[in-house]
Amino acid sequence: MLLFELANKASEWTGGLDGMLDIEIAPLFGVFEFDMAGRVGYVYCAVVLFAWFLLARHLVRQPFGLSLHAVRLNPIRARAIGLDTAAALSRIYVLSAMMAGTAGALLAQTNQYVALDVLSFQRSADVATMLIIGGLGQLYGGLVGAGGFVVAQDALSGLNPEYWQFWLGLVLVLVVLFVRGGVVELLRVGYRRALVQVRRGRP
Amino acid sequence: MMLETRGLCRSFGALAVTRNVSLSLGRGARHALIGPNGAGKSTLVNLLAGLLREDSGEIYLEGERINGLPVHERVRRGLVRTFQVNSLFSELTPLDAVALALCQAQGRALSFVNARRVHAEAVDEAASILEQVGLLDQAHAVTRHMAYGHQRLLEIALALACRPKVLLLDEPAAGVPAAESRRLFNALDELPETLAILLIEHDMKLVFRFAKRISVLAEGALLAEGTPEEIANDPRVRATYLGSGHV
Repeated sequence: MLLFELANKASEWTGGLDGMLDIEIAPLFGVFEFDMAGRVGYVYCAVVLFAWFLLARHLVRQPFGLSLHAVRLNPIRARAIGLDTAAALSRIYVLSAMMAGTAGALLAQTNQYVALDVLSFQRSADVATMLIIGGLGQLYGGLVGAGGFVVAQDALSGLNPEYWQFWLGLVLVLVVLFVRGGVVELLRVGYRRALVQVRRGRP
Repeated sequence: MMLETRGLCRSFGALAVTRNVSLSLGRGARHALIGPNGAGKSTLVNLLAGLLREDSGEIYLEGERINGLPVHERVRRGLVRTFQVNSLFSELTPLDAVALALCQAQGRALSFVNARRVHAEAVDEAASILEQVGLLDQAHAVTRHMAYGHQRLLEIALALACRPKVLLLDEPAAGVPAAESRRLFNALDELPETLAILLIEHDMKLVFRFAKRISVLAEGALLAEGTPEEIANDPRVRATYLGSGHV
């Protein structure tokens, strides 16, 4: 909210409430024009997302990923095995900032317009909701959460246009209370149980 | 000397919890620190490990002053501890946790270079450490699902993976059921001979079996120091802590 107000004040740079208009974006690789239907933008974003996801998946399976997991689970113990927790966190913050920066650049490039509401509280809350519903600290949590959020938003606003945010909030509260690992954890537990059932069913 | 403290003091407000404590451990030392509840044993371990800052006094590791160094830096220099109450990575498996500690001991836990190979080697070595403490059959269990006694053993395995020169064992037998204590005692017997160990423990059976020297702490100050026999026969120690059962 502070950044929102700051950006609003700095209207010479940000365009204030009107946002940054008239951004000229060159065709992708000088060949693919960003079309009105957003097909080029969609494929472009999907490819970049896939590349970042592969990198994240690679890092999670390395000692670096284990270190982050350890720091999240028990920072005192992490220090007691010699981990420099501040160094681990600063590295992942830099990586996260690079990912977020890439997302912002993609948004500006594909929309050719940046509204001030990218800094709004609502946007931050939406992103936090996506992560919590998907599953905090889970590799697939962000992906599943973002997809689930958009589908839920669409379905709930269709069913109840006036109060759909209430229902989304209720889902959020239920996830926080009962499924700490989010939808991904729910799927994982369901899969394990199904596997056990199948094995028991075997002669 | 591997570990030495000189005149270590720490107070919480008006309460002096550590008073002028001077200790020294040579290579391969088997030194126990005993004393009644509230004697300041755990505070002393926290001061040595760097979780608490001393008000005055000095701590030396292999002759080098380590006052003011953060916890992780002391661990890197070989001063490693276990915790009185299990402090583990609840959702990791023992194999992952010990492998991570091994990667860290090589300074590679936060590195991206050859990470896969380093991790694969660490997993192999982690398995042999788990075997050493009798936990190989639990290697792939989720830590929070393990029995308490097994978690105590994992505390020791994690400490060993840090390649310690001095090991602070903070009540390793606390809460371990009698049936599992033999496994713990065996693990302690198997610790490398060159390793200097400071054992804080209430279980006198374990202390007198393990230690070659014993220091007695009472009200934050050292009451006595000597061989197990000297301590068992010291009238001040018997009056303060042991009673007449250890003559």
